[in-house]
Amino acid sequence: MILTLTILLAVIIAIAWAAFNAAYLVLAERRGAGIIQRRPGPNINGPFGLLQPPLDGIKLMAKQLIIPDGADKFMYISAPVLVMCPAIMSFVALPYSDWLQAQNIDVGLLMVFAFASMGTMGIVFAGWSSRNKYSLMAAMRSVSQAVAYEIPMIITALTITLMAGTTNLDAIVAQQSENFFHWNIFPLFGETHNILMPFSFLIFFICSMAETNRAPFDLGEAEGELVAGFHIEYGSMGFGLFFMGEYANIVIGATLATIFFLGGWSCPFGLFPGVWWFLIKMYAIIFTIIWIRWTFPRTTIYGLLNLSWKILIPASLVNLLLTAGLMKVF
Amino acid sequence: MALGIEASLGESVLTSKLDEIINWGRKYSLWPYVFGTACCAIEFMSTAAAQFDISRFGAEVVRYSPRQADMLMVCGTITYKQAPILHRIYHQLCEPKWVVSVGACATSGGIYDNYCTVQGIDQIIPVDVYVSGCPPRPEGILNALMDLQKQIESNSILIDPQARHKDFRGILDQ
Amino acid sequence: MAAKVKQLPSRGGTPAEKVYLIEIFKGMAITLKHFLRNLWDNSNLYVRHYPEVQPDIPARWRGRHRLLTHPDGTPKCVACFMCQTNCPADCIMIKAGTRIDGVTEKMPVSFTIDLAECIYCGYCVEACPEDAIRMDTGIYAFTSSNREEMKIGMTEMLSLKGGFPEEEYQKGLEGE
Repeated sequence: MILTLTILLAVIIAIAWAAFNAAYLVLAERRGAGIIQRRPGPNINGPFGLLQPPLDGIKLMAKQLIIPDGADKFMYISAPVLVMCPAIMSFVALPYSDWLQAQNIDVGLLMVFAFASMGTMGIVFAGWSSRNKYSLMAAMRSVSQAVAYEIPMIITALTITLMAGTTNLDAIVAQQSENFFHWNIFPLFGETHNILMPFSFLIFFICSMAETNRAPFDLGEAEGELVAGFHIEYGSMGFGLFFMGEYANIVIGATLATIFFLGGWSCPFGLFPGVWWFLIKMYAIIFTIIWIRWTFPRTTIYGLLNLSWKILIPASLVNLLLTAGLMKVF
Repeated sequence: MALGIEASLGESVLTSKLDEIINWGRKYSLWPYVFGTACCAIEFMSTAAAQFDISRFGAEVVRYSPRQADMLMVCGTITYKQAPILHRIYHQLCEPKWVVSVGACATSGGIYDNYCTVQGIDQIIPVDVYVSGCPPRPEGILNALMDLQKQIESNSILIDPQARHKDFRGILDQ
Repeated sequence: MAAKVKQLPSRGGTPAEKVYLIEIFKGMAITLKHFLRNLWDNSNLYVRHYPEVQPDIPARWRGRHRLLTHPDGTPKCVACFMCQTNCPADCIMIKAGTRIDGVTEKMPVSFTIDLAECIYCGYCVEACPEDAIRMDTGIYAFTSSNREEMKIGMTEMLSLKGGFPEEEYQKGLEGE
């Protein structure tokens, strides 16, 4: 009974965390974009514009839901669900502190990557069922991008697994729990010495941005070419769910980067470890993602796929080989 | 119309607080679809840029798909060849929707009184706010946004927001 | 024929630029600098908070039209139809009538400008021989939800006052 209640509580907290982040990251992005561009973002509603996301939510809920004539009804309705739900389900496996986690899953790393792949299926459902050729082309582009960037991401996660010897996310963080130089991004001490880790971090970071269709890799939503991408025909809350799913995926990417490379909930000086350090690091990575979006122009589809197949995959394979070699030698 | 409530509840329920909340949400989150064909579109770009920031009103999320936008801003001259396209895009917007006609060409054909220019888009789609000018200053476009906000404040979810345009028959509607 | 060839230095060829990662970091540094500068000092923001802050309209700005009067209150306009003829958008509609007090022969019975058609070019002001119409009210924005409301009539235009002092307006005219 207690177990059921704790599980239920964990699920509710996971959904609430995903929704809160999705809503307020939108605000953070709009204000951050504004300040970079010398203008305030939304700042009329509430102090610092904090009431803007609820207003957007109210508006989206009160809009008309349209199903295009001739669209495949089941696929059309289930596509946003298929994009949003795996993102929320991944939160079950992610630890935010040594006590703040839903379930300590031994194969947590594999589970999170499995759920990330399910989101791609939702995109295909959306593109195919909208009965709109631009939607289909955009979905094809998004899927080819997602598949291409999953590979280097998983290979770099493999280097982490090699070094840590386990896929349990708790244990990966526990091995980095001393001070800054035990963190996997720059391990000088600890059980593993590996100077290639910064490159792993870079590759992982780029891939996590590309996985979530995030600028500068947002070819799927390029308005000049594809009129809003695979979610062209989605009206009010369908679009809202896609939007929320994208931001939830960003949070998951940032969380994984923090767990793998930045030492999770440990402090740089080894003082008070806890969930606050985790949140600081996660939001620093999210700020970097937003900062990158407003700095660079969009890549072309050829540049995007070349970057993945010709540069990142060979680099990550070489990285894996050298890591294994270094582990054998030292 | 958007929630379909007036069909089921109709005269039995008074929804004043709910109306206020929903109108408040719609007012401050009007996402524009910029149907920009000519010079007035550049004035819209200026309105969305740093000096006359339209994002203070929550309207900077310019969605490029008509299904996701609330407000159709027609900026520029509309020709008879473009008219069916405008008509189609208007009908693709999800309710509730508003139309702003920016500039002299969209309002009335402006200086182009000839065989190919539509003399005002209200021959094709129903319009809520007209902005005069050639091109209007960004303050004019912001005034139009504020006029729309006032119009939205007086809505109610029990009244079909498109009721005022139910009897509209444009030249493409026969 | 030998053409004159000039070699322009092209960017992107040095090894540092070819790696591209360094340029990425340089770009990010520029954006971060902007972010921190604007965050630190709010006055760096370029925005004008309309409607709380009204814009600075110069005297030469062609805004809403107004009809001028003689010192005794009668309109200066003599219904000569020069402005209506010159208007490129055909938005001025004048009906002429006889004048009873003998100052001139004609005066306008009705003078309507359709602001929906007006392109604010100022040709009517240039054409008028009596300096009876000006566009110096400084009213810079006009919206309406109804096209009939956008036609302004003679009483309204006679009642509008100029937005700028006379010397500034004349100085503005001299610049043309």
